[in-house]
This record gives sequence, structure tokens and C-alpha cells, in this order.
Amino acid sequence: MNIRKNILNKSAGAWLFCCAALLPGMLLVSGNAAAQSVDDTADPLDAPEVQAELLLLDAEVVESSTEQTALQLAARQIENKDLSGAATTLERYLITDPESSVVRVEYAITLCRLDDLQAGRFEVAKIAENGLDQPTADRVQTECQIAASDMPALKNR
Amino acid sequence: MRNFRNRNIAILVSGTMIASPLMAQTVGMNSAVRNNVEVQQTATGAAQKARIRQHVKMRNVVTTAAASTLQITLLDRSSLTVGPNARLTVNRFVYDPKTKSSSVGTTLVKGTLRFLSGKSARGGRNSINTPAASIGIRGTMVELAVGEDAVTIGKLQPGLVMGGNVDPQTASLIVLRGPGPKAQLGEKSGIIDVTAAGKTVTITQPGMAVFVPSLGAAPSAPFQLSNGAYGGFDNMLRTTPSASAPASQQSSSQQSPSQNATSGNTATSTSTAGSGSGAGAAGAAAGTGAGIGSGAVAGILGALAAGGLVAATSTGSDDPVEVEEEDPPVSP
Repeated sequence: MNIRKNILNKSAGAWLFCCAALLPGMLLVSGNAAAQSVDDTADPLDAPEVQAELLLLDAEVVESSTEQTALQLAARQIENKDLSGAATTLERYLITDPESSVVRVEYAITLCRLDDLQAGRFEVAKIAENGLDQPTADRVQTECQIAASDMPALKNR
Repeated sequence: MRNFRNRNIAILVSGTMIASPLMAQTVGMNSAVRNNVEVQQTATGAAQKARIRQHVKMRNVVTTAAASTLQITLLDRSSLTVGPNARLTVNRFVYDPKTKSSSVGTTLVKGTLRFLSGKSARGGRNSINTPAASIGIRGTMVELAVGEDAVTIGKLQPGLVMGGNVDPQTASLIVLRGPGPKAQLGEKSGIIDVTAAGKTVTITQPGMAVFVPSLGAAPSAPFQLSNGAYGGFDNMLRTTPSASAPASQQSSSQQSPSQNATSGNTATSTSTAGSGSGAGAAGAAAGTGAGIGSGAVAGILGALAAGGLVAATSTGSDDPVEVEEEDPPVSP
């Protein structure tokens, strides 16, 4: 988010330049699916502010395309008190990689922190097959308010 | 430059609204695409296969196929996750980057949708229309099912009467997911107002839902969505790792690693209810009653193990619906 803050404090020209400079770097760390192409349907009628915002959004989408960078983006969003944004980022990653337990557990905890305990507990249950290590289990139990009697079912699987 | 930054962006408002000199057609971007999703361009009317990072324009018509999902992220960072066999249009989007305020209007004609307000959208006037209801949104996470999907999920809700007045074309099921009153980091609680047939029901608690059986019918009284009914939404709007997926999903995942979450769409909840899946759904529902308490996670685990979180069928009409207005319910 520091990058974002800096960009917003620059002039529009610098803003666009920074965004354009960021994108190649983001592409290097992105997965194949996201790296296919920058959108070719950019509308010349869009205001410069819109085009600049689209570049920022594009960078976020690219950053969401690998497990590590999606987690990093979500962590930054949480640092900036944007739990909903973090949930969107993690959800986005899980759409294309449903097998990622590490992302799913963060998604579950984020949902619980948004006070959607039902959804968070469902996500926890989905990864229970793999078992949870003790620190993760402790976080899950705390944030999702899972009864102690239910925890063995999660940890022993 | 200051003038440049201070200019507001007014992005096209629905059909009857005015245009600003800074009007833009682009409202956001496809941020995740799974399987077969088509976007019908407003200008040309031609349907194209949706691609990740493709820009989304005002009044594009999004259509998803079976076992397919699309996440759209709007400029204000609101997100729309569209489930399988759905049809959706963004028909209003106003965004002011200076004040970070925005207003979003969306129409879901059929299928399922999960909407998360972006940070800047939380103070704005956001709405979602279905054929039977209008949902006013105040900073929230909300999920909807329309048509066959609403009926399928509704059948998983204990006590919900699915009588003869239920229309599989227009029935709408709406649930508030959050943020709840105990949300952290200053996230404000979400509120939705569901209006149908001149009656408005306000929901303030996450997990509470309303069912509108048909166009012209009033919304039901709010009820706590059971784990079984939640599982119906979950199958359509979220993914499940193959180790926990029902057998039908696991077989599909062998075809494509990315298809396992919402596959098995040929099985209805009714047709699978006689096997372990039915028992699982019942177990999940029984785990909740009026909410989630002790034993809920064990109940969910049991449901997953039994393959109870069955995928639902959506076989509704594909007839397109033209939506011009924001406020009244749409016609199927």
C-alpha cells in the first residue's frame, strides 16, 4: 500500500509512469494465466484517472496470481485495515487454485475476522483433512471461535 | 495538475442517467476466470470468451456456463463473484477517486452472485436487482441466488416453505454475509434492505436470509441460513479442495484441476438426497438450527465427509433480459 500511497501523491503523469513501470515487474512474478496479456480493450474514452486506476487494479490482479504474492497483497490490505479487500484477494486466488491450504486458512480467518463465522468455519472444515499445525489451529480457534471440543477433529485428521 | 486530480469521474449511470464529460465505459476488470464465461459487449452485441484482466464495460452482459466462475473487480475494489449458469450486468457505476466514494448497481437475472463492497463503496448507494426483488446495500458482503438456484438452495433450508407460488424463473434468495457487528479493524457492519411487492425487509445480522418466491410476492421474514443451505451457496460461489469435495466433484477434478469446485452440476439436491450426500446435508443443517454453536464445525466436517455439500443444478432459461432501470425489479 506504500506504493499505492506514493502513486496517489504524484502528479497524474508520474502516476501513469509509475504504474507502467510497475507492470513489467509484476508480470515477472505472475503466473501464466495472468501473464497472458494486458487487456487489449482499453477504451480511449476513459478518463486518465480511470486509466490510471485500471493500471493499479491490473497490478493487483497480477499480484494475486501466485500463492506467495497473493498472500503478500492480502497482508498489506489487512495492514491497511481492509479486511474485505483481503478476502477478495484470497478468494480470487482460490478460484484458480482451490488446493492451496495456506491461502484457504488465511481466507477462513479473514472471513471470521469479518464476523462471518459460518463461512469461515466452512473454509476451515475444507482443509481439516490436511490437519492444522498448532499455531494455525490456535489462530483458527481464536478468530473463528471454534469450541475446544471441535478442535481435535481439526487437528487429528 | 491539481485540476486534473480534482476532477470527479462519473462513470455511466444506468440507461436514463446523464453523462459527464469524463464519462468512461470501463468499470472494472475480470480478476479471475474459471472455465467457460462469456461477455457480451454492449457496443457490438457480440459474445466473447472472458479473459482474465479484460476490462469490464458498462452494461456488458456476463454469462457463465456450468462449473464456471467469474470474479469482476470494479474500480472502487468492490468485487462480484458470479457462480455457474448465471447472467449478470453492471448497469450503474459512479466513482469519485478524489473522495473515494462510489455507487454500484448490478442486475442478476439468474444464477448466484457474491458481492463485496469495496472500501470506497461502503458509503455509497449500492444495489442489486433480481427479477423479483431490489436489494439496497450499505457496506457489506451479500450473496444471492436467482431462479433455479434459489429454489435448489431453498430446498436445503429447513422450514422454508417451497409451495406452489415459487417461480423457478424469478425466485430470489438473499443472504447477508457480513461484516458482522464483531468485525475487526473498524469494518462497519453490513446492512441490506430487500424490497419486493412494496414491502421492505432489513437485515443487519450476518447469516440471516430472505426468500422471495416470485415476482410480485413479498419477501419472507428473515431466517438464519442453515449450514445445508449455506453449502448450496458454497458449492456455487466458492471452491473446495479435491480432498474435501464430494465424489462427483472429485471425478470432475480429474478432468481439470481447476474445475473441482463447482462441478457435478448435473446432480440436484433432490436426486442425491438418498445417498450419503443427503445425510451430509441434513447433518450440516442439523448442526445449525438457529445458528452456529458448539459442534458446528464437526457437523460441517461430517457433511463434507459425506459429500453432503452437493452441487446444485441450474437449468433455467437462457433468454436474455434487457434491464434499463435500476430500481424496479427486473423482468425475467
